[in-house]
Amino acid sequence: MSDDAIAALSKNYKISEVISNKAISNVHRVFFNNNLDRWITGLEKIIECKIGNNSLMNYAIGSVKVANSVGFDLAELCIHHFTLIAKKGGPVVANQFLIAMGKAAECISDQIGFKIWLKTIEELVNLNFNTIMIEAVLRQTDKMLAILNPIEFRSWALNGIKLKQVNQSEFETYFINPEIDTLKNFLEPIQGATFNELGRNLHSYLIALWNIYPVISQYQLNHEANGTRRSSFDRMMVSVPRSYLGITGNDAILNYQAAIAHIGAHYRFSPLPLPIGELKPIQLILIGIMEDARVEQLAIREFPGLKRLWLKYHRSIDNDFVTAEDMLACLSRSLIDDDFKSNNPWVEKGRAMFFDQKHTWDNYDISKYIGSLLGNDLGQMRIQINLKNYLISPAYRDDNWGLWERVYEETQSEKDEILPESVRLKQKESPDEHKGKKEKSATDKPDGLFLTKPIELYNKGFQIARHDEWDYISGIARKNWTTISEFIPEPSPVDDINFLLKKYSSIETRIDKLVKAAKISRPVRLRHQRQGDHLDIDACVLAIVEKRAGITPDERIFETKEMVSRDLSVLLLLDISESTRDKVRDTSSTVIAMVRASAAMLAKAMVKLGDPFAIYGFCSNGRDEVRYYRVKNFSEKYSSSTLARLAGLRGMLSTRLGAALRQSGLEIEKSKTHRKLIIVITDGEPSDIDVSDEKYLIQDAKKSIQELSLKGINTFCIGLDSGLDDNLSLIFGTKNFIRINKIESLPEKLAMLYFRLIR
Amino acid sequence: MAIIEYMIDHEPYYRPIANECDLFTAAYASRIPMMLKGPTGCGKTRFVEYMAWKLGKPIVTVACHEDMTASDLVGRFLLDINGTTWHDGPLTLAVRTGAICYLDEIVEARQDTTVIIHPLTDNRRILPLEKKNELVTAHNDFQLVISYNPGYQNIIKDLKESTKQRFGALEFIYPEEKIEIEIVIHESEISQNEAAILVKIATKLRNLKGHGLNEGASTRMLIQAGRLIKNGVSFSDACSVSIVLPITDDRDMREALSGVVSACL
Repeated sequence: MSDDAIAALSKNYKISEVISNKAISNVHRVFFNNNLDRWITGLEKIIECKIGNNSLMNYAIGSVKVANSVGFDLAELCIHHFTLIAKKGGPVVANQFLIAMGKAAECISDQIGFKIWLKTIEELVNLNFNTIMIEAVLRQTDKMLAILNPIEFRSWALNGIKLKQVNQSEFETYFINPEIDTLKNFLEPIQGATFNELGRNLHSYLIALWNIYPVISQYQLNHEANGTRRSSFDRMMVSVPRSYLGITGNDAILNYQAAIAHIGAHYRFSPLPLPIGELKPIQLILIGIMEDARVEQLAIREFPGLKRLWLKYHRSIDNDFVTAEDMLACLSRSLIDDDFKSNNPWVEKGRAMFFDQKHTWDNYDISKYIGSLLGNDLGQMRIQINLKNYLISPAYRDDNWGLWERVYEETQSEKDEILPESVRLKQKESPDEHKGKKEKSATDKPDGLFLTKPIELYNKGFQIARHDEWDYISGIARKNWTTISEFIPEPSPVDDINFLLKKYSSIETRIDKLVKAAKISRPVRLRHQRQGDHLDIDACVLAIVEKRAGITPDERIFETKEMVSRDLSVLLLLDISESTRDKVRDTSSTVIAMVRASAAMLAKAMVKLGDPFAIYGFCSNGRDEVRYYRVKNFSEKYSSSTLARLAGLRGMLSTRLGAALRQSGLEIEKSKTHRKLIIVITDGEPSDIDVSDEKYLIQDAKKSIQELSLKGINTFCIGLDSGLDDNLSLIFGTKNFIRINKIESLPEKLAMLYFRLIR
Repeated sequence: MAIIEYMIDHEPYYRPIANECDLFTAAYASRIPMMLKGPTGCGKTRFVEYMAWKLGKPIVTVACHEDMTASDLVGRFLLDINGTTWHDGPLTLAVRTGAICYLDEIVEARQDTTVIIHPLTDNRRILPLEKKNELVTAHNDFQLVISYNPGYQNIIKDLKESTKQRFGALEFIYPEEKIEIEIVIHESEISQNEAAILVKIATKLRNLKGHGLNEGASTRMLIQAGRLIKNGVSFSDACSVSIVLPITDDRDMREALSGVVSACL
């Protein structure tokens, strides 16, 4: 009936004209009998919708993909959704859906996940969105599903819908042009333990077992390509999946440990990557299996417990194989499990050969020999393996890329994707460096000349870190959202600062005294004191003894607790944004001049006391360029050039306070003092060119301060009054914020701050 | 306490690893003060006891701590019914009677305390008792031995250069596998196989020194695990109680260590 039906349809709709022969033959290859009928019913429904001839071709291609990846039922379900979408969204969206469903099925390849995707798309359509947006979402299906799994995709979409009430234009760009960084925010572990939680554990495990130190990283993207569901290694780096699908709880920890132990065994016992030569793909797979078995057996000799660990993940397979994959899984198992017997002659042959060679297991050649042989046998048995979709089993095993030289080179570009962000940054930078060099040589200037032109040095920043940023609307931290670049301010004449310092020299001495009086450290027990809170019992006994022995007793018989030393490091964070060029209210000096003067005063006081301190300035030009000006770091000595750099700070760009605070936290965290204090000197609330929502940066800054205080770092803000309304007290809390409009009031306000620290 | 009580009656078990016994004997012959360096639980204290037994000398051991004052070492006036009497401290006792004085974990003591050993450890060999107005000349048999673990204390706690350079030093490390197995068997009376597994676990954990652990598992830990096993505790429990849990407070690290233990079983 089916063929007739197609023929009948063909007559009416000239199917052969709109669907290519190749597509039709593909449909026939996949759909037959009952399923073909269902397919044709679907086709009829599409024809009914009248959304153009292209739709039929799209359906032919898409449905084959869906059926192949997630089954016939879902291919049928797609049609149901299609009719809804066509009704609400119109022909363009409906057509795009037919294309997208195939891509989505290939990316997701899991029935439940695919249903979630369908449901989400339907919801988006039902919300009467602008069709351009839906079309864009569908068009970018593969891009998004390469990063997000269906659940994450759904939470991304739902989050976007919330945005509608907040900001219409952002809402549209959110869907039409989703940024990868935004998408990554939605990466959440679906289930079970993930690499993020276990990274350190695994690293220690690898070092302890094998005494090797490769970098372990997770795949950055969740391609549902085969390789990324398994771990992988090369001579430098071990990559593991973000999570293993379907493995949860304690099993996930063990599964990761099994994977790491297995890769460790490769490092120890497998040879360096070998050329593939003439080997066929099926032979590569089998050599891989034999090699896995060989290194595992050798590892088990050293660590008998690993056998228990690994064996757990080998499936129990009965001997009625359905697929070639089952056969391979059965072979894998028979090579590690002594009690496992198979009645499949091919598996048994492999097993016998492998165990016959027990005494030469330490030689890689046996893997190659047995593997190639078994591969040939499989070829002769005409057993087909879908190499594209072949997934090595059990899950803890790696993809064996690390064994082969050529494979590694070919897939270099793919490997690039999994390089950690920092490495990629470097790679990105290097072309620019070359460019810089070329330019230099083009103008034919010797390197020495470069030194006479320090401006170039001062205008060039280099990226030092990336930080998360808090998105209060969605309640999640946007991962690695801001990029911090370190700059060195160009030294300038210090006359202005000196002038101000002289002018306020009386204040300077007051600040000196004040800072000096504040002893901030752990209390130390002082024994043998002339006065104190308690008697020092040892000293008392000694005094009595000495009295009796006829020696003049020591009067120092008290004990007290005191903060004897100062154990405080301070980081001054100066706002040098454009707005600091304004005048301080009711004065003639600019904010930036006052910022510099206050910083210089505090610095002088701290130098005298020997407190470790650092001075940084910050401004920003969008999230990718948060400039962090290093005036003085903790290890540098305070000198005239520090002051010159301080004088070189100029007001420009915007204020991304949260990012700068996080960076400062990172800097001050390294210092080993008891108390850590960041003093921010600023003139107003945060803002930046790429943020229109006023609250956003305020909330982010507030969050960053909470993060700092969790780390035991105090943050304090001195707000220079530029007459604008600001929310600084909202960010820092009323107690940690003072506002001054003349530098004379700095000492008394600072007193408040130090008083708070002492308590 | 009379010095005779500091004599070691029975031969302590000590398994020489290299020529450390000969070196120590030679150093003692010329009364060179000795410094024993090495990680915790590798046998420094046992070695000194063994050498004291071998040389037939009493040994006075002082465990140094942060609050220890000079008078805790040299002695003080105490009250009794007749007034005040001077009581020698452990160091003075050893100096007068010609014992070996062993200052364990010397870096724990404050630096002003440690300098009192200076006049004892050069050619003067004297101990001034300031309070008592006495100058004690060291007995001919007296020798000072200190132990010190360069690893775990922080940088602030280090010996003064002037203290360090007065001593000859012997370095102790965890014994090689075969010897360590022998030691574990002797001390905890478990089977060769069990001891071998314990030692293997320890070797693996020692890979982690500097990579999350401050110190690897010591021989002493293995012996304790062995004793638990001897008393019928299961292998994995024994390792957990006496190795994994004591060695780190970090949960991730403990999981990794448990993984290693179970891989070795």
